Amino acid sequence: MKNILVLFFVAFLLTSCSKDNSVEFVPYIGHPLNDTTWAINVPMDASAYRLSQEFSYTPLVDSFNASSTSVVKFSNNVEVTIPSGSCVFANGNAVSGTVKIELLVLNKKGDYIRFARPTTSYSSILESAGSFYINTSQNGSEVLLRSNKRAIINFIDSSPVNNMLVFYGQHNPVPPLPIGTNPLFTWMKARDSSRVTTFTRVNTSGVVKGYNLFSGKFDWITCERFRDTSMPRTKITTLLPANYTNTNTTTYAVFKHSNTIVQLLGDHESRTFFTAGIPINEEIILVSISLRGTEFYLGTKEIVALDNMVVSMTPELKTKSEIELVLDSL
Amino acid sequence: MRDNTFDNFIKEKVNNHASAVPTDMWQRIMQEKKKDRKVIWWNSQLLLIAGILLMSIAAGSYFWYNAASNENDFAIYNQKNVANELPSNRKKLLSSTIQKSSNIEALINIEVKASSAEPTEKTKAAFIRNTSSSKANSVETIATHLSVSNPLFSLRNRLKLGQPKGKNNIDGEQIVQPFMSDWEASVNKSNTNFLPEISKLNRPTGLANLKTNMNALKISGFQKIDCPKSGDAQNGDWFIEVYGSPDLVTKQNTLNKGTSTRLLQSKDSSESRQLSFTAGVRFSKELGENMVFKTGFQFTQMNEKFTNRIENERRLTTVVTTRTIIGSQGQTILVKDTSVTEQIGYSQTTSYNRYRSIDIPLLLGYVFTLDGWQIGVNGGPILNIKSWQEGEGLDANLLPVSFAKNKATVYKKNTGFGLYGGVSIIKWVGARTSVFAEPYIRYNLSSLTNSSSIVNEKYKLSGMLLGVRYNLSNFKATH
Repeated sequence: MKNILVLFFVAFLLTSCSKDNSVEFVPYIGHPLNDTTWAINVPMDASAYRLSQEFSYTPLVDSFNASSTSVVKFSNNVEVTIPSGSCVFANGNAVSGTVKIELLVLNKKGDYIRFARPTTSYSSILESAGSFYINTSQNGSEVLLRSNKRAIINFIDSSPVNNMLVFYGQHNPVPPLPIGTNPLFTWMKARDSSRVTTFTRVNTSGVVKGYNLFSGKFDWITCERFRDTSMPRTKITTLLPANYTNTNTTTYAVFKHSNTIVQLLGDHESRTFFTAGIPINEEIILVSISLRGTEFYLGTKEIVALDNMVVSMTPELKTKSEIELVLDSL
Repeated sequence: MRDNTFDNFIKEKVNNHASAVPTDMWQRIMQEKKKDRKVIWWNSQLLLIAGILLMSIAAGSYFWYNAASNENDFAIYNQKNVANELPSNRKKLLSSTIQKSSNIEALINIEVKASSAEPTEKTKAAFIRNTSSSKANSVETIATHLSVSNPLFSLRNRLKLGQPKGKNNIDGEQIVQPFMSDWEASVNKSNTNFLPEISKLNRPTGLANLKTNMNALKISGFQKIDCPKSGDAQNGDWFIEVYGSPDLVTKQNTLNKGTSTRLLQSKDSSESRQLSFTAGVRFSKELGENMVFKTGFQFTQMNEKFTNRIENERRLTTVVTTRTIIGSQGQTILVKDTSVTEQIGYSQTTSYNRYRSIDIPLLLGYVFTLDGWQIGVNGGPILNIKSWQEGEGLDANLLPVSFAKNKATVYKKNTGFGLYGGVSIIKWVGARTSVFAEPYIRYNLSSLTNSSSIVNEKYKLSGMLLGVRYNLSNFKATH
C-alpha cells in the first residue's frame, strides 16, 4: 500500500510539473530553400544556370533568300545584311532559298545579366557597344556563314567610338583559364578579318549614328573593346547568407558609367563570390539574383570599389517581374 | 446468550474509560504548529489544493502507519509477562496514539495471546477446522482472532461473528469460564485430530493468565465501553476518505456550429489524452445497515497533449561566419561576417493542456461485507463548482490559439453536473483505518465548451480511486 501511495505521488508530480508548451522548428531536409551546399563543379541543371532561362527573352525571327544579297531589318533598328551565296550547311553544301534568321540583341546592361553574357574576355574586362546572337537555319538544319564571307550587322549607337572590336562567343573555353574566367562562356577577340566601323547618316528623323559590325560568324557576336584604365585593379568579394550558394545564385558587378558587366564567380573554398581586376574607385552596382526552389531573390548594392573590398549582401524575396524591372533600369 | 458474554464482559470492564492525556502533549502540539508556519508559502490556489491533498493523504498514511506500528508494539509486548500491570509508558502510548476503543481491543488481544502463547498458526488453523456447531462458535472466534495477524482486525471479526447487538454487561469471569470450557471441550472432543502443538499448551496456566489479565484490565482503569455493533462499524458512523486516482480520459468532439468536418478531424489528430488524475477528500455517512452517503471535494486535472504542425514556416537565424579570403595580391584576409539565414520547415507546437475542475460528489452507496472485505457500489451526480483551463487548441481557422485561466475562452467556467459510478473494495488495516480501491467512471453531461464554440467537447473519465478511510465516529462516542 505504501508503494502504491509513493507511485501515486510520483505520478502526480510528473503530471503536474511537466513543461506546458513548446514550439519547435524543424527545417525540411533536402528542400532547396535550405540548401547551403557549395559545389566544386556546378551541375548544368543547377538553379544558377536556370536563371538565364527564366529571364531571357525570345529572339526576333525573320527570313531571307540565301540566293541573293539580303538585308533583314528588325524592329529594334538592327539590320543584318547577308551577302549572296554566303550561307552553307554544316557539311559545306551551299544553301539556296529561304533561310530562317533569329536575332537577339543585348543592349542594356540588364540584358547581359539576363543571358549570362558578361562583358569579359577571359579575365579581361570589356566595354560593350552591343552584343548579338544570330541563328540561321533551313528546315531545321543549321546554316553557317561561309568562311570568307562577312555578314554585316548594322545597329544604332548615339555615341559610337572607333576602337571597337569584334568578339565571338566562346562556349566552354579550354583550360587552363586565368583566374576570374567564366568556365562556361567568355568572349574571344576575333582573329579573322572581322571588324567594326562607325557610321553617321541622315534620314528623315535626323542624324543617325551607329556601328557596322562585319562578322565572319553567326552565333554570339559582340562589339566591344578592352576597358583600359590607369587605375590599379583589385578584387571584390561578396558575402551572402549561408543558403545563397554558387548553385542557386549568380552575382554581377555592373559598372555605373560604362556598359561593362562582370560576373562574380563562386569560390567553393571561401563560400564567397568574387571578381578580380576591378578598377579601384570604380562605381559599381553589385547585383545578385538567386533562384531558391521556385522563389527569386534579388540583392543589390552600390559601392565604390576599394582595395580587396568585401561586401555583405542580403538578398530579398522578389517576383520575377520586379527583378526584370531592376534589370532594365541598370 | 453465550455469544453475548464476551461483548458484555468487555463493556462492563472498559465502559466510560477515559485515557489520560500525556503531560507533554501540548508542548508537542505547539512545536508542530511552529514548524508548520514556516514550511510553505501558499501563493497559488493549485498549490493550496495540492497541499491540502498531500497533507490529507499524509495524515491518512500516518494513521495507517501508526496502526501497523501498534500491531508490532503489541506483538513485542505480548512476549512479556502481561500478568503484571501495564507499564506507564505503554499506557501513554495507547492513550496518545490510538483511541480508547482501540486500546481496549489491543489489550484484549494481548491478554488472549498471552493465554495461548505457544500455538502456531498451523495449530490455530487445525483448531478452527475441528470446531463446529454453535457451541464452538466462541472458540472459533478466538481461533480466528488468534490466527489473524492483525489483532485489531481480528477483534472486529470476532465481534462480528460471535456477538449480537445487545449491550448487557456481565462479569469478565462469566465470559472467560464458558469461553475456555468450550475450548477445552473442543480440544478433548477431537483430541486426535489436533496437531501435536496444541496438546503442548499449558492450558491451566493460560487460563490463569487470562483470568489474571482480565483482572489487570480492571486495575488498568478500563471501566466501560460502548461495544461495537455487528458489521465493520457502527451504523451511522462518519468516515473521512482521502483519495487519489490516475485517470484515463476519453474526449468526444462534435460539431456545434457549421458543417466543416475538417476542424473536427484536425482537432482529433492534434489532441491526445494523457494520464490524468483526481484527488479529493470526502465524508461518508452510514445510513442504516448497508447504505452510505458520500460527499466532499475533489480536484480533477485532465491532461491533454496538443500538437500542431504548421507547414512552410520560415525561420531567420543569425549566423556569424569567419571566412578566409585570398586578396588581390595573394594575401590572406580573415573576414568575420554576421548574416541572417532563412530556413523553411515546419513548426511543431506542443502544448500540455490542463483542464482542471473542482467538484462536489453527491453519492449514494450500497455496502456489504464479503469474506472480510467490504464491497461498495457508489453512484450519483457530481457537481462542478469551478473549471479552468490552460493550454492551446485549434480555432476555426485551424490555427493554434491559447487559452488561459484568466482569459475569455470558449471554455466554460462551470460545467454543471456529471454522473459518477464506482465500485469500492475496502480493506480494514486498523481499528478505524481502512484502505480502499474504487474503479470508477465519470461522465460529464454537458460540453466543456460554451455555446459560442464551434465544437462541443465532452469528456468521460475512468480511473481507480486509491485512498485511506478513517472512522471519525469513535471520537463522538467517547466524548
